Amino acid sequence: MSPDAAPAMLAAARSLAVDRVTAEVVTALDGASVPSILLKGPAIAGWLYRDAAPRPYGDSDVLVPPDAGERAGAVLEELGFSLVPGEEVPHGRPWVERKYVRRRDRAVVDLHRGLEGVDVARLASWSVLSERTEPLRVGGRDVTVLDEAARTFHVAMHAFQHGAEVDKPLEDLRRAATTVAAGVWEDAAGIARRLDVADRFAAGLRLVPEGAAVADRLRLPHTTGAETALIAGGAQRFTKALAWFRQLDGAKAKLAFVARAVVPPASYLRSVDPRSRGPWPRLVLGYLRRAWMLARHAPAALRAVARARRSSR
Amino acid sequence: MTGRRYELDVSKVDWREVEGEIVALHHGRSAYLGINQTGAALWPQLLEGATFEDMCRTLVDRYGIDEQHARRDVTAFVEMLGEHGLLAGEGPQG
Repeated sequence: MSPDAAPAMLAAARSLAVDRVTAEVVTALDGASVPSILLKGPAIAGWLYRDAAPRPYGDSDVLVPPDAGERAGAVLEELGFSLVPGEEVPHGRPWVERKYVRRRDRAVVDLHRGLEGVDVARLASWSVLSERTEPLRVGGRDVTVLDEAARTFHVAMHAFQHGAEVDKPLEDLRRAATTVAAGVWEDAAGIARRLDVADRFAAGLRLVPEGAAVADRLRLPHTTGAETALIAGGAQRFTKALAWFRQLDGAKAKLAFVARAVVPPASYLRSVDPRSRGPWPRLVLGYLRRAWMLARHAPAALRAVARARRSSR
Repeated sequence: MTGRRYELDVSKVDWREVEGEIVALHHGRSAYLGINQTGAALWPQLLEGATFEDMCRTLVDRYGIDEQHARRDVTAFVEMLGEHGLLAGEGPQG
């Protein structure tokens, strides 16, 4: 296919290639006895975009049980994938999502043990969502995807996770809000309640007018906690850390958390700041840069928290 | 050619329809195929299985072409699919 082919055709071709990778990954996970659920991608494209230009997707999002995360990571590494250095300081918060990339074909797999915005202090999504699945043909084989109600729940939570700044999840949400049956939305709200994220589910829905109408019909809450308001406003990285901090027990644990945030392990700093690699003076400069960055952003972060608390009352 | 049913071997190919054309990925050969609108019109029939005459009739009805033209197009299309090993069962005859 020549580079002159219409962009939609190229996007479709890329999606087909991603589907092949998905099939390869799911087959390998099956071989290692790791159950998996494919999130987003073809499940959403075939569900919400049948009447429109295909929804492009560029990676495979795979959810596995929380206790199978390391084993799934090992499977991906055997397939030639490498873990991308993390963006979060290893505070001790259980990881929810990790990105793997394969250099030879630039394939990307997002490995999930939970859902961002849902699994903050504990990884509960799998136990609920694994009961809400159906098969879908992807890349030449049957894979497991979420059923319609669980997909609907995930669409709202995905919008919540990214806030008002990222259009793709919002477009998914608009389409779901206007095409999914009322009974399915009720079922999705039930999933949100089971996972104790009804306020976040509501906040995600209310990011678009069509979703707000659904939230009103479902009589979902208008008021949200400060953290929920922060995430819906787009401050997800900071708020993930804040949410984890708030559930830590005791002053000692909280102090250790802050200490690691300000002075993370050298291995972490070198992985996320290439200028910190090499001789020790570069590492020292890296720590100084980090301290400066934190000092610069702290006032704005604290103002955002204060605003979110005021708006959540 | 006339009595035989032609059917796509769906285990070998994934596809997407985009604006009336089809982009298909052949699993075994890691090759993409671009199917134009004429082929895309025949694709649904090939998923179910169709005779040569069925497919010719589709093109005549849809595009208003004469039967000879339709037979040439269908022949070329099924031969191309056969060369790529995408037809279930034996290759095209006649």
